[in-house]
Amino acid sequence: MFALNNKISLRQVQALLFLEIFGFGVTALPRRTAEHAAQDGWLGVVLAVFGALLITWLITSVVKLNIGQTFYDYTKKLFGGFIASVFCLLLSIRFILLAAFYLRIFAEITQVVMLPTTPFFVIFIAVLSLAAYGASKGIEARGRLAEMLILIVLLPLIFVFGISSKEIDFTNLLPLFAANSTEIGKAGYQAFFAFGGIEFLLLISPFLSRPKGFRKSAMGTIATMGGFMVIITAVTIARFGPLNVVAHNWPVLKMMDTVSLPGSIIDRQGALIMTFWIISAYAIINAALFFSSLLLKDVAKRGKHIHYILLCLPIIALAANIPSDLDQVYEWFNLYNNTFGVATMVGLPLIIFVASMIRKGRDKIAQQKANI
Amino acid sequence: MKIYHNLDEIIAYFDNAFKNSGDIVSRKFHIGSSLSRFGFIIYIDGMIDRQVVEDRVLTQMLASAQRLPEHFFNEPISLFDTLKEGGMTTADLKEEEDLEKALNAILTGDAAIFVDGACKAIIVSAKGFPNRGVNEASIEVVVQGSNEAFSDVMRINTALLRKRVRDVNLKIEQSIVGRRTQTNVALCYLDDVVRPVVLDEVKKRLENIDIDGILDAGVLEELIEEDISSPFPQCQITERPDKAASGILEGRIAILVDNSPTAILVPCTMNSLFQASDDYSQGWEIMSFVRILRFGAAFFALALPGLYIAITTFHPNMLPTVLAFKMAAARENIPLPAVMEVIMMEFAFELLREAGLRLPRPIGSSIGIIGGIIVGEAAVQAGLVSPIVVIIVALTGIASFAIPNYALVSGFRITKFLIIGLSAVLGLLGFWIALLILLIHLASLKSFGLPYMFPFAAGEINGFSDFKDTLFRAPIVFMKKRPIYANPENCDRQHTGKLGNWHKKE
Repeated sequence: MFALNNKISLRQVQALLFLEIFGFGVTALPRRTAEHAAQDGWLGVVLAVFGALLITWLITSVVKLNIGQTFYDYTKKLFGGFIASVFCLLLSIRFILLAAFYLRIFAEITQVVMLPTTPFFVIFIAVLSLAAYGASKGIEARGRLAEMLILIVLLPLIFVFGISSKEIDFTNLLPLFAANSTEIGKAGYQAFFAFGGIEFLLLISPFLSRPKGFRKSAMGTIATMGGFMVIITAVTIARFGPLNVVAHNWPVLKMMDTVSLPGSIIDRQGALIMTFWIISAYAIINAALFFSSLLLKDVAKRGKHIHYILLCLPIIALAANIPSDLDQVYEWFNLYNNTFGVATMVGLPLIIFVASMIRKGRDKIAQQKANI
Repeated sequence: MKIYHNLDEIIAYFDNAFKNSGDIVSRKFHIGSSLSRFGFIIYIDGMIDRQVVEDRVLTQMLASAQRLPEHFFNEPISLFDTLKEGGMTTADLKEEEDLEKALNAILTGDAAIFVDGACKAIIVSAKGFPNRGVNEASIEVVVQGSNEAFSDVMRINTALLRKRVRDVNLKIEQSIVGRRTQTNVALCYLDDVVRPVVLDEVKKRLENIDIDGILDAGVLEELIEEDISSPFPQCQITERPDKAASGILEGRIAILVDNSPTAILVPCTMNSLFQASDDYSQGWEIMSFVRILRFGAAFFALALPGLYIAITTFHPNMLPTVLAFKMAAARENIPLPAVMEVIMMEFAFELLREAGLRLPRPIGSSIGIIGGIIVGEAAVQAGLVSPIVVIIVALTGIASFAIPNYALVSGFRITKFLIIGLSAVLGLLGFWIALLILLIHLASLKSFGLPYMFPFAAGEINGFSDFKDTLFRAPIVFMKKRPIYANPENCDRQHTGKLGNWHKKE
């Protein structure tokens, strides 16, 4: 009636994109970049932002060429049914594993900051049930929720980082360009994976209420998010110094925990800030669950969306439970990023873009011939 | 079923239909002086205005028949038409050819007059059943403004709306719902302001209802709601005609149900449930403050007990040391865990609230005092609960009273226990999970197609102009556009010029 059925506005796409990508990937970003480029880690993030913008341009081009079609439909047109199914399964596995990694990392953080005696499986069940409930409500509800949640996430973050700026020692960022270009490049490569989930955009086409302006919105969001990531990385490194940043698993959380809020009745706001990461964790796991189940449904061509959501739940929980400790989680996460991450964040959009352009060219020639 | 030609058959039909009904008044009588033609009148005692029927209809009709020439009595249809057109001094009458419809008219409080051989009936609308008249609003009380409330009689209620909206575009479409109760239901809306798609949807949902009886607006509300599993109201119930009129001016539809002293306003958003009638009777600054207070109260009513449990049970280190020690000292020697304390006190509070509602008003307030002060104090003295829990539960209760819509408060009352439960198991993680479940649910809700959380979500549908009446109540002069409910083609509310500085203007 008023609300478009199963469609979301560009504003809602922006909110979803921001929530899904920003937040969770940021917790370890300063450490991951400082490991390679020390105080120049933030320059690596700048590089990563440009990389992410390029990928966004590619993906939005693909979406523009295939307006209103599902990922399966347009890849089937380009490559045939078998390849389309393979791509869907590849993306689906990528999303399921992404959810599993974030779920495990979130459970680890939760145990450290909030619930030291609560077993992982309880946290897994709680977060996955929530994500499944959200995914089952469909894209419209997800979009509307994102619009409401974005303020709850952003305002306290900006507030806490604003307060922390008083205690920053910017000399920790000097001298600039102490790292060589290879080190900054490596930092940028690592930072690029903080944009994991950018591939969700490949699947958004059938849900857009108004495709016009999609590229501008998506790129604007990635640029804004990138700006936040650069600031957070620079502020965290400036606050602790590169050596201390590398020593902490989640330096951003550490920084928030140690900020003293003026006149606050809360002594340790770490647990409070943690609640905002809960929203971020929910957002990414919910998105991964929503889209992976959607892809599986498209490949299987039967059943309801909710059936595939329920199917994905135990797989994510089991996968999240496999790593023995946090070190192994990050070790495997790096491996996963270097393989699945690169394949789906860079390879897949590139292949589809090239194929779409070739098809577009052929169609144009065929039309010209027909006109003659 | 066509009305019988023979009057005796008609009488037999009604005798059979109203068998064992002592309140039926019927009489067969002669028409005119020739004594050759009979008439028959039937109505239900107590549901009609006897004076109108006896003096203005029956007496006038018989007197007029006396003056008619003889040949009229040989042509029953002419006789019927003449009596109908010239023999009665009441305007509210109609002709009916269907016997069952005539029966339904009698059941709704009309009188039916039949003429032998005419195959038609005159239905005289002279409803006069007992009612309480226009009462004072008792639930949605305001500090400033009208205190009129809807009555039990639909016709009085439609008049209360007409009194406020004197526009020919105010349409009052009536239909009947309920196989046995034959309840009149009226859709009141401004023809040029309502969204046609919403109006069609409301009519469709009303037509879909097939039930034996509708005895109250609440029953109808549940039958036309989008998601019946939700504890949150998707229609707005109001007892205030000024609020219903205001809703109609915004493009909403007010549904009046006979015998129910409330109107149902659709569509409805959660934001509209935070608005009270006197929000617009006082200055925008103070009412904006009150609005913020209400939203804060809603958060307290919903989340305070859960937050208390999460922090005291799982994260006491979040609190400043002095406060943490104070709270720990207050809980010393309390045999129950914090969650049990809270649940026990919440349960006691809910009991008192329910008891206070059911008891006569003077005793009800005493129950509040006894419950609030004596039971609370006794529970603390007995060492069953800590004083802080009493404060938390009392604050939660007070906060819930600050929300202007009772049905919304009921929704918060239910979901509060979900937050308490999850906070008791998972601390702040559980608290946030419960809040997110609630937000997901609210984000997925719609009222007649309109997102329930509008304009906090999907606010761009109406160009974000509805934000002027949310947490802040903008000055009325700034509310140029009607809210989302109105037809986009007629969404201008006012063209008032700039206000203030009158002297300079002159």
